Amino acid sequence: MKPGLPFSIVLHAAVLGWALISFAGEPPMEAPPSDPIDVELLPPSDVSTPKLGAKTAKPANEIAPKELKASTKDQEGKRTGDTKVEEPPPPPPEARPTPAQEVKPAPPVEQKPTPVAELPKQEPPKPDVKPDPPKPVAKLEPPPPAPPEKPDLPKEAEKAKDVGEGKLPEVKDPPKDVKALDKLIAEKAKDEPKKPDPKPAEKPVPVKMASVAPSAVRPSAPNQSTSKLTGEVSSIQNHVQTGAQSSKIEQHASLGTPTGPNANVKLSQNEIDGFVAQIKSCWSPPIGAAESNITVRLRILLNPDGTLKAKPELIEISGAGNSLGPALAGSAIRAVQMCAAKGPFKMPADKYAGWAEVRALFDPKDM
Amino acid sequence: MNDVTQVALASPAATISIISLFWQAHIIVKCVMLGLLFASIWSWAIVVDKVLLYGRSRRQMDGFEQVFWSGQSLEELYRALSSRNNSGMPALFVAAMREWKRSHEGGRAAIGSLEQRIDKVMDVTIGRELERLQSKLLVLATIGSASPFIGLFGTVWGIMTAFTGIAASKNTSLAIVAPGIAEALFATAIGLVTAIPAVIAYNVLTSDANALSHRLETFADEFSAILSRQIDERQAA
Repeated sequence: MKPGLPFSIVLHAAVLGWALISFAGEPPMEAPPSDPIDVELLPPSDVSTPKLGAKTAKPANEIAPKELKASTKDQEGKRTGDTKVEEPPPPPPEARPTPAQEVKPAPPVEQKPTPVAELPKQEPPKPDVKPDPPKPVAKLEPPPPAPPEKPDLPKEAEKAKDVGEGKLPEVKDPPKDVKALDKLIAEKAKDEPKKPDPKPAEKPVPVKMASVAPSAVRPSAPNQSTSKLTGEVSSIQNHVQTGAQSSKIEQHASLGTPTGPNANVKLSQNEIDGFVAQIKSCWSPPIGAAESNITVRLRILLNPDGTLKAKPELIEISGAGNSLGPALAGSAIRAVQMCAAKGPFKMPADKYAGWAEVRALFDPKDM
Repeated sequence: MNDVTQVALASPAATISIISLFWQAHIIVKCVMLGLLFASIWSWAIVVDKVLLYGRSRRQMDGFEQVFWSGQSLEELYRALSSRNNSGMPALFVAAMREWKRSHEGGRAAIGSLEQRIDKVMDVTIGRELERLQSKLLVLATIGSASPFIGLFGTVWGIMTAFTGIAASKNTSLAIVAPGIAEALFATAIGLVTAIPAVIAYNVLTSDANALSHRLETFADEFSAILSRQIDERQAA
């Protein structure tokens, strides 16, 4: 008889028996219980809008995600490696507080200082401005005559605005028309956070401003009571400093208008992200653009319903020498228009002031 | 469908053992597993038998060649072997000698085409011996090539039923999915366990069988040469 079959059966029985024992004995794999993670829910605005000045900066980060890292570092206070342009902003805060001091104590006097405070912005045409500041100082002592001179200053301011930014006039006009002190004060408080917008445009100037403005203005300060002033100065300085910090960031891009009330202007991070995502979805940068280090900055004007108010306006092309620059600019403009054609941008309607004008930095590396 | 729901509802906490894997399987998967188990048993039986047979044949050939070339008289050797039930090389020798004897038994020796007849007889004997050596090797080949597919079929079927059950239970947690998949994969595992030894054994045994048949043919040629010399001597005489 062949021994093969019985041998084989015995062999299989043995293997099966061993498998039964060894497999059944294996303990099931136990995953160690994971530690619970505490999750705290915060409204997005708490996280995404920490500073007054930052409101204008963040859109820049978002629209140009490439610069996110750099600008976040800025906000943390690391300014190393930044260009000279960024350093000038800090001085202006010192110049402004002094005008602010003058504003509150003596109504007549304040009106002059306010122009002074805004003069720094007008300084791009330095020759015009420098002569002026002394005048207000001189006229601080005779309060009555002050009103007549305001008109002059505003005009100069308007000239300066024509040279520099178009929107400043709106802000500064109200002071001329309404002479009630309370309104002035209130508006100044609002203005200061907005100042960051104008300044970056006039980057080279601020250094000189700092030296000129204080000397012109401070003499008047001693005339008024200083007790309240010091506290207010410090608070104002705080405001202004935040603005100064953000002014750097605005060089990348800004989102916000000088006209809107601050509280409403802040867009939360989510809203900014949403806007960036909408534009990104439409944008296809030309081939090779990402390697050529070109960026394009556009000014996008929007209607309250999220549609385009005007064709996106090209502000600048960095790396302009590159032949791809115009193509990239064209693609960026087309992207915005295509998005607008698909449907209005979905933006929070109650924060229209924050996105009426958007300056967007298009960097193909982020695509 | 009972099996399907059974798969789906297999309690997640159940430890996966061989028995549970088998009993939770769909009936078709069970059939596949059992078929593969029998195929494995059969292939191993064949392997064991063949290994023993080849070993025996080789020893027998060694012993016979030793005796054959020892100078012993072929008549004596034939007388000693003809009474036995021979296989392998002795059977070859006995077949050739029987034909030789019969050709000389009559009053007139039929020597004319004796050489061809002897060759033919030895060829037939070699064919018979080869058939004996190589029988059932084809079964091994079939098991080796088919059982992976059979196992795969079981796996596909098992996964199909598992997914049906998962869809029915509307729960995709791993604990629900895993037992069905594991049970299905078990069929492939059995298929491979069956096929791998069968394929290896088939290759080894085939080469062994070829070596043995070559040895038989060599002996047949040698013996044929010896007989043909004898025939020529007798014709000359």
